[in-house]
Amino acid sequence: MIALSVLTAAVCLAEPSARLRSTEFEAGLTGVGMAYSFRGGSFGDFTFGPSVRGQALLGGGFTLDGAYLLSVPADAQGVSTSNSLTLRAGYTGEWFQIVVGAVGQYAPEARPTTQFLPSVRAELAFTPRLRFSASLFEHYGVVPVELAWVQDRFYLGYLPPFGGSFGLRVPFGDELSLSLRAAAYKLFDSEVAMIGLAGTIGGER
Amino acid sequence: MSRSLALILLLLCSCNPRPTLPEGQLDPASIGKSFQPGFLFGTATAAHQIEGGNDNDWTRWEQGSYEGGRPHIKNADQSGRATDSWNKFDQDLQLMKDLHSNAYRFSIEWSRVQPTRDTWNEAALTQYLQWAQALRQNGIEPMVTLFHFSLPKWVADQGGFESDQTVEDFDAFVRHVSQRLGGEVDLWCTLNEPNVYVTFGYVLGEWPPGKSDQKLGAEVLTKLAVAHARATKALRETDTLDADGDGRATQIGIAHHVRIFQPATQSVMDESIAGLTDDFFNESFPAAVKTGRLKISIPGTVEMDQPIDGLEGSFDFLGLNYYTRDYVRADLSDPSLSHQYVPRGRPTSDLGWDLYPEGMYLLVKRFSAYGWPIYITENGIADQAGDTRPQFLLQHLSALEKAANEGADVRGYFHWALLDNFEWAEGFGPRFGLFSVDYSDPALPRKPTPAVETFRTVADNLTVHNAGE
Repeated sequence: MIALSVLTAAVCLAEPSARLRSTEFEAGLTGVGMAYSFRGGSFGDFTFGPSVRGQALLGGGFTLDGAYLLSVPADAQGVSTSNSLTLRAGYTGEWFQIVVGAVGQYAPEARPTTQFLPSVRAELAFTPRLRFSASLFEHYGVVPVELAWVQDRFYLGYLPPFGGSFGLRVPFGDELSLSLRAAAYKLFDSEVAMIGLAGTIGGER
Repeated sequence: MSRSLALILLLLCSCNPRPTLPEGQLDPASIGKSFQPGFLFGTATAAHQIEGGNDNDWTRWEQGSYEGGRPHIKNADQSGRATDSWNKFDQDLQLMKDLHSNAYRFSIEWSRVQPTRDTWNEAALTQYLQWAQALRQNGIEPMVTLFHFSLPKWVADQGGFESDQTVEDFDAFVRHVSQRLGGEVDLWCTLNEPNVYVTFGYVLGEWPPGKSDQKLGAEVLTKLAVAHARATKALRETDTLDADGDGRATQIGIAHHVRIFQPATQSVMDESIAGLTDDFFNESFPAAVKTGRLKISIPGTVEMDQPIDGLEGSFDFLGLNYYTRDYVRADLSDPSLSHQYVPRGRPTSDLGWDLYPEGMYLLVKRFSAYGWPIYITENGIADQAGDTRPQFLLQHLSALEKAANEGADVRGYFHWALLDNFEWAEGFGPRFGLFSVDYSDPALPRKPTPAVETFRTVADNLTVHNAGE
């Protein structure tokens, strides 16, 4: 919550955007479906819950990046409720950004209750409108690897070994926009799909 | 974008839904009406767990301990006399009759039949033959398991199923047993739970030979698959006598242990490890029999894709041993790559195993997709008080019946176990028997638990139902 407060306050203190990205904050809902497959079927779970994410550009390009997802299972006989918190810090320049940190997951009913994964995102601009990003355990840790082209308000990603992602941002007024993100991939025998809808303050429009 | 959205929606909607089973106390009179005519309803045991007086790799393991002094077997128990069923078969047969059961699954103790490579104990084989004859004379169909975890010491000393020689020796053992018992036995399980044998003996190191080596475990699983294929060929060549007059002299399968592996959370790590565990434990052996190729993938450790002669088409049925569900939390420091547990608040057996009858339905439906007839070759509960077993039995039969109603070709159910027994590394503590055994009394008396009446009522339902067909 402290991190979120910092992010929210930072929205109000946003510095002029001479950098690749600007301060932003968003809140919405995210659903995640996961299943492992076998001959003739699959066994899976669907979780759904509120999600927030944000990024604050502080002085000198220093960047704080964070996200939180509450995953509530649709079926009480399946996965446990969990909380995923991503905290990353890094630098945003005019043509690139890199943030490094971790995704911590807390699931009160799981044993052990906590799990940590590294989380990294790097982004490089080729033109003012076209960028390439590479990330590790992005989207609340749901996506292990994402390689994406970002153009204005749209991005399209490749999720190794078999998968893809896309995102879309629709502006409303000067500061608000509606964001849609989705991803689906297959890793070993597992299939994962994620979809999220959020309202965004600040950032690119 | 529309294709991506369609893919996502497809993924989210395509999972096998968890079933809704009847809640509350089930009435035994309501169970069994959907099972097909000729449904086998019986009990199961294994030689080393009940016979007593064995001298094999397990009896040697039972005398040992881990570094630090902890005994291999809980409470330093040793199988010893076990329930002395080698000498009390007549009593045990009476228990089966008291249950009104029509099938019994038991195993042949290799070390008893072939104490050395060059020595065959024909008297022991004659006794097993007499058991099979007595069962059949009492309307009880025998199902015989040929390898149920224990090896002769001379086989263990040559490396057990790490060795190609053991495959040859197992082939000879199967041929010899088949020639003697084939006239009375049509239902054969070549192997019991090869996945459990590899996991406990070669990954976790808790059973003989006490090793912890995933790669070696995969090689042993391969040898077991070869041994199964060879045993199937041997049985089909040597057992040409149709004991029950159904036109088939042999029906061959394995007793395959299956579990529900539930990812602990929506963490991609939990999901992936649960999927990999499921693939190795539940899927690899049946898939190998379907395709003729054994494929095992444990990232960073084992990548195997090996054709095995005679494996494809070697099942006439698939036996499923179902007990429980595990929640899987990724833990890359553990040999199994995960920590497996049961969440607090779940109903459990005395061994802490999750009571999840829905898993019976899910797994029977799942493995029906292979096209083989299904026998439940084991299902049971450690329940010393005996008051949980009646509803456990009914709930699992209800789940099985639901699967049968939806088209699964379910041919039989064998409850584990007929009577209390030596539960491997857990010793004599867990009480799985429909009949309890008083180990403190030298006579080892058998006493019915409350589930006996439940079992008998269902058996009578089946008899009446079958008679009406």
